[in-house]
Amino acid sequence: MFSKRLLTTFCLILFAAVNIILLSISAKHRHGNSACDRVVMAGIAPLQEGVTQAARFCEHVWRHYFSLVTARQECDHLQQVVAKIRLEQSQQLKSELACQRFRNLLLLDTETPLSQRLLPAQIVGLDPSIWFRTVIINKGLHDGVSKGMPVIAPEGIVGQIMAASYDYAKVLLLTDRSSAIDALVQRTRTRGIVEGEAKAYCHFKYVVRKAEISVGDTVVSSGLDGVFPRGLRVGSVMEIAKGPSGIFQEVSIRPFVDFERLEEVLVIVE
Amino acid sequence: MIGLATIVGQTTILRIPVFQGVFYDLLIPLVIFMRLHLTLMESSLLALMLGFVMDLFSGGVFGLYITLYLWIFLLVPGVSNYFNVRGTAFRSALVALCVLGQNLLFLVSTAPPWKGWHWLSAQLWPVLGQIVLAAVTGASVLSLLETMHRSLETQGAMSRGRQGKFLADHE
Repeated sequence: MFSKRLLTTFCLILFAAVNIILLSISAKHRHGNSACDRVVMAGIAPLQEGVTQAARFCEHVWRHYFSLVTARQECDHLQQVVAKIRLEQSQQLKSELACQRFRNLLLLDTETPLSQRLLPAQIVGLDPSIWFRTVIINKGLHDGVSKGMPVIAPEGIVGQIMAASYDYAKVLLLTDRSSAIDALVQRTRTRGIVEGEAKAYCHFKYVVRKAEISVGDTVVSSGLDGVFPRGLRVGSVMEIAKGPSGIFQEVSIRPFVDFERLEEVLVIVE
Repeated sequence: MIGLATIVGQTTILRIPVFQGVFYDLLIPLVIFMRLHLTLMESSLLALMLGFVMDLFSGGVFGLYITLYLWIFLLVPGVSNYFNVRGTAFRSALVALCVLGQNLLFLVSTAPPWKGWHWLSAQLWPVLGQIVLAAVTGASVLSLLETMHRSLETQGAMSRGRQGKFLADHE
């Protein structure tokens, strides 16, 4: 009744339709963390860790061998830098003591230091595709890490945990397109949402047109998204574009964290 | 084992900044090879497993890699028979076509048209690099897999032969 070609075409269309439906369902229930996922991750992540460590060791040896050539010059330069830093340090100590005194005067409650809630972790694997920005870290449920926890580096925000297995976790980076952080400009307190882009920069969206922002301004987390604590550094304003019309201005941000060279991160575990 | 090693490799050393993201998904030639040389049951199961693991390590929607490998799995024999060519150029073109398909699928999943395409330029060069690299090395990767497969089959046959001879001698 039907030719074979027609039947094949029909089957392919049916398969494509079912496929699209299943993907749509999967997109709605994104980043599941089933037992099966955890087992597979627990099986493969140690291998990633081994390969990453070996690669880093080779890189370390390579870099140090070549750095010997310029080590002397660098040493002289560093001595000068150290002298300068010592001077700055003494000035900072003075400021810190003054700050402490003012705080006591104002009877402010001292918050728990952030360092008490930080869990250091190493990056052991990267996303296999150029379209998504995630990394695998060597801390998981066993260490108190769970989905949604913020991940930072000394320079600023890295991202948040999107899935965790027993010993490993997957981190959605700030630069991924599905990442969004409620943030504000430190200087002017202008609010907006930092969204990831394909490149190494982010968009600071929904910033009202009349808001005063300039290139180089620091953007920090507002703490209103319920994920990131307030005041964590996100990035600096790189570019501002105001179109002839519209309520918002286009702001691009360069993250403080260098994601290409990131090796260690800190998970904020509460 | 090859699949597992490839997954580990491309989630660690092949993604370091030195390579600028031009390394294409090396599981694509593996899936093509499996479809053309293994049984339907073996190859489909392996393709599903590889897709599942890749989805697990990827930040995209779960099922993207499974979808990709299943479509490669479905279309490769048809394309292969339709053109009826087994030369190096065809194999390279096939791998490059699959890499292009993968990037298109991921592009659609990450940036639907209604969200705008303005950021596409950032991905253009790595994607072109991947396609060119796939076109240049795709046939070699497939040949390497075939050579390994043949050598394993020969070893298996020899081992079976030795076993048969041993049993015949003892009878």
